[in-house]
Amino acid sequence: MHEAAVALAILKRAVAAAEASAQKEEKAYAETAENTAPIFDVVKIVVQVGEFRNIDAESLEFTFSALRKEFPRTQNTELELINIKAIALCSLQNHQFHPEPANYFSCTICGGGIQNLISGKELDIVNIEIEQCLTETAA
Amino acid sequence: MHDTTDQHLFERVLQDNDQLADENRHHFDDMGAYVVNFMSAPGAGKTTLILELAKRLKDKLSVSVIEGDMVGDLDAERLRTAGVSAFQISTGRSCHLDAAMIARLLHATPHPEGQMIIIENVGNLVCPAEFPLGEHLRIVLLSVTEGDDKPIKYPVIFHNCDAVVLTKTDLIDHVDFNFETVEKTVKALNPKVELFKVSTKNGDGLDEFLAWLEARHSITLTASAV
Ligand SMILES: Nc1nc2c(ncn2[C@@H]2O[C@H](COP(=O)(O)OP(=O)(O)O)[C@@H](O)[C@H]2O)c(=O)[nH]1
Ligand SMILES: [Mg+2]
Ligand SMILES: [Zn+2]
Repeated sequence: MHEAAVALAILKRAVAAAEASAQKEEKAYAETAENTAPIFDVVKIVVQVGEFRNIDAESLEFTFSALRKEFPRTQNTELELINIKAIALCSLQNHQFHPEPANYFSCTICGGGIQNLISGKELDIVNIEIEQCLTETAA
Repeated sequence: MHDTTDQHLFERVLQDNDQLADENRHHFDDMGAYVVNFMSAPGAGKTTLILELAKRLKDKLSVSVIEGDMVGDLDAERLRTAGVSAFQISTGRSCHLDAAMIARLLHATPHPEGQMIIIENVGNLVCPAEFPLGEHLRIVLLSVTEGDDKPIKYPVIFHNCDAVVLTKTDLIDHVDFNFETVEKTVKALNPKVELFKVSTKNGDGLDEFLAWLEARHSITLTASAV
């Protein structure tokens, strides 16, 4: 169950993004001599998950929603997972194919193997949505 | 005021682990250590094979072993009893070794040393595939008693390795295990993979596997010496 490690890595990155926004904003506030420290919450985080990664979406969502409560700025953060289909380049004739158990993961046209994966190995954060709240209690 | 801002970015989720794995790799290279990561389901025969390899390598190379287990240090003890230098990492609730655990051990005293460092990952065909450690070689064991459909069910780890070792071949007559099915699946997932068949019980295939391992070790040493 490494989904917990993956969920934590995502949350760590989300917290860092919220802090970075707050710091940027704080400088602006300092210049206008206003005294309220800005606070940002993470509304949503979007992660691409390739078919050739060992990520179980359900258990990632489950651990994420439990672990987000550990951080003040991610209490209600939504996790959106985008599944990316695997596309392989065939080792014999450079065909593009979808490696599947039904074909023993071999090329559907000529029977070649996976030379490399054009897609399917993603595990990437592609967007973080951040919202400024008025007071600490607004969170 | 509830402005939301989108931060479009592109970051690997596990980049911290990947970066630490790179640092470990440099550390290993500086130490002159060739590092091999053994992965499999529990009970496939990792400890038994590692013990056999360490015994046979002992006179030619200095070897130490890193044992990853969720709890206890039975396997490390098994190796020490046989005179092999072994270090235990207890991963606790984590079902895999990660690069940070290896980094901590490398900076501890004493720490693994030698021309070859063998890592036994936690028994699991899923999670270890996602966490590179900085190793030079990734080897997956599959025992004939586990069934020939394992590569179909766990394709990622078989796609991301350098060699697959089919173990416990002495038991082949007692189980339904089709070598062709495994070979077909594994070669499709990973056309460059090396496939070995071994039995630590009767010694079959051990010499071939060992010869390959030694060849990979010396090729890498020659390459890094240039
Ligand atoms: N028959 C047979 N049994 C083996 C062989 N290799 C290992 N075993 C047995 O399989 C069990 C699990 O082996 P172990 O090395 O502890 O597996 P690990 O969990 O992958 O480290 C032990 O009881 C071993 O004695 C083999 O080649 N043939
Ligand atoms: Mg073991
Ligand atoms: Zn093809």
